[in-house]
Amino acid sequence: MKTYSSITKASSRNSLLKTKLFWLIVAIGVIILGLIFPWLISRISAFVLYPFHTTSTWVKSSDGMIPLYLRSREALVKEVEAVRKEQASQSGTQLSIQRLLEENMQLRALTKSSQVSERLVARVLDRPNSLPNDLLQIDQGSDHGVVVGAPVYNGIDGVVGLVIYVTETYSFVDLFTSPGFLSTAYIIGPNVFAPIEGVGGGIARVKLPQGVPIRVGQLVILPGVSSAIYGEIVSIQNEPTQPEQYGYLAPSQGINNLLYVTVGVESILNRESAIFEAEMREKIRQATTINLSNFSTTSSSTLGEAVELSE
Amino acid sequence: MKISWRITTLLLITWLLVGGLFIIASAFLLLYLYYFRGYELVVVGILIDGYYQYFYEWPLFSLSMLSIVILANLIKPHLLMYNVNNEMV
Repeated sequence: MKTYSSITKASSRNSLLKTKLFWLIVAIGVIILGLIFPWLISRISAFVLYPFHTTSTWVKSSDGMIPLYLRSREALVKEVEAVRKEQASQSGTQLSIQRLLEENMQLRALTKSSQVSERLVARVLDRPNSLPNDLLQIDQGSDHGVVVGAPVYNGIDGVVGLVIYVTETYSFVDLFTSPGFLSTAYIIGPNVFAPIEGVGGGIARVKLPQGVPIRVGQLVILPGVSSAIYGEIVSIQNEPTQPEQYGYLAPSQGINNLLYVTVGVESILNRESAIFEAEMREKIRQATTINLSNFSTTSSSTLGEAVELSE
Repeated sequence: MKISWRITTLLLITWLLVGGLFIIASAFLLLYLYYFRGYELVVVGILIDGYYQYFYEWPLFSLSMLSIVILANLIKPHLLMYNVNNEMV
């Protein structure tokens, strides 16, 4: 009985192996047949897989509710991933900025220069939407120390504009985005000075010759003040047929959101060249005048002659 | 009507391969080979090669399926586990 059983098992195994071998040969035969007649297999596949193809196409491109939901969900998941990556990158950038800021403060402390120059805090009374000519009215005037030409800041280093009119109790600020505003800016990146002009509507532009490599995101600063930033370039207009290109910039915060600003106590406006020249001439004259008391003479007669000459 | 898991998984694998979702399909393929012998996967491979017209070049899916099925059936007996009652897990 035992012998019979073992023979049966062996026979069964052999049979199974033979079956497997048979199907293996059949599969290989079909593959070879497919290689010889590829069109035949393709047609059979197209026929058999038609329902799969149809449903797959439906899911991929249909405007139906379910496929649309699946696709939009997939798109949203990808968008969330992208936003997360961007957020992580921004957080890294923020850390770098913080580190640089601290380093900057330490270096400033070493050079004994104050971090922020003396400023006044002023409340914004009126904004461009209720004032003509894109002006800002603040509640500090000459009584508080505001002078014409003083820079007005939003935050530590964001320049909003310059004081253009001062009364005893209030002042008007000309925004750097106001039409007609003209000044000089320095662009970090290409490291060039460029004229900046207000366009209006919260936008200013810097004008540069063709070929200067400006990019979106580059900082535009006010070169006359140690730490003052106009903003960053948000758009570039570059037409190859034109001799110049424009970089458009907007303030970091909307003017209508401003409640408090700080005002520098010193004017940054250039003095008139004639006055400057006269001052310089006077200084040069003073420096080159011979002070006779410094000379040691050997005889009183020589001193007397020198006095006569100087008179 | 009760639909067998085997047929459902096979149809799903075929649909994923037709849809081009190869990574997800390969995960289900491994699952399928774990539970079943999977000879029918060779047929699926041949059909997919025909669908993508790979028989004009190299029938990658057919050969891959054939290799995977043979390999799985060779390996599986060595991976069988038995409990204390000498029952196969």
